[in-house]
Amino acid sequence: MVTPELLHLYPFFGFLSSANLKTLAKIAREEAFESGSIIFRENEHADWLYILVKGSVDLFFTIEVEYHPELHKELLFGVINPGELFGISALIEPYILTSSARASKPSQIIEIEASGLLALCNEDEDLAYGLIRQVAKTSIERLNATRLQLATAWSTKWV
Amino acid sequence: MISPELLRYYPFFHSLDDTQLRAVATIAEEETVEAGVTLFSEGQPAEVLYFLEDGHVDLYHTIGETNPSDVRKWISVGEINPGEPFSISALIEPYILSSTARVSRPSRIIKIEAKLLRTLFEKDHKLAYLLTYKAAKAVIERLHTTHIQLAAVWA
Repeated sequence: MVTPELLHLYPFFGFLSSANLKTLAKIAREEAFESGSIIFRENEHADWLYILVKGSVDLFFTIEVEYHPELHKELLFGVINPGELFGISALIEPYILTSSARASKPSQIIEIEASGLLALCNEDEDLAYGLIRQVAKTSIERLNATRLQLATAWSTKWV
Repeated sequence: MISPELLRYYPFFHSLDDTQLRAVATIAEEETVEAGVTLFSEGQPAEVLYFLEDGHVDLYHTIGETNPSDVRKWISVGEINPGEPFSISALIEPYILSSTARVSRPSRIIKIEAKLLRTLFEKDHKLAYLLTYKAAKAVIERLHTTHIQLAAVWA
């Protein structure tokens, strides 16, 4: 069971009032994932926001292998560490996941129902602003890390 | 100051009401920039939010120590086309630029001072939410594009 006290530990929810934390805890659940299990796949509808409590999660996307449409190659581009948020597309239109996620170790994850979270945002402007600031911050950290990978990959090609 | 009707053209501002649009238009300016101009450099504080009206801007990331003449160290990580915002880091903490922007063709841009925008945000949390939401959306779209670029290099 997810408690308000557990949610309060995470910087992402650090600014929330006790009442909001209580409401969020009611629409959250804790799930265990075995190593190798898929948490979500790219292009699926983003219905949950995730926080990694324990373990490790790989973010990857798949591309087709040329001339072999039945085969796919997985490209790992990021790792989620304990305390970090993922599945942030659940709060941003069109609510479609831009990557896949797989537990690379036995992991414990808090899942928060996105529709409930969005409903809370509609009722409370300050809550909405606080949350979107965190989402924006997380997304730009991911973009910067991915651009660095792209720059490194390009510079390696030129050597 | 620019006309609110000019800002209304950009999807970034579509959710704002007339009062909010006027407030943002009051602190915005238009500027013409020559080809070859570097508008901002990565690692610097993000002090201005830009929109490209006309022309073209390239975004670069640098690897290691950069000598301006060593073009191998300037890696293209994206481009800005008319209608798109850039220097979105001006709206997202810690407000530090993550890439360098260079104008590749004579361009017209709209500039909005980030400090003045944040002052508006302090008075209007709804405006703050609406524009930060759009900023986050633009970043996620760029992330998706960067994944595709990465896939092309790694494949």
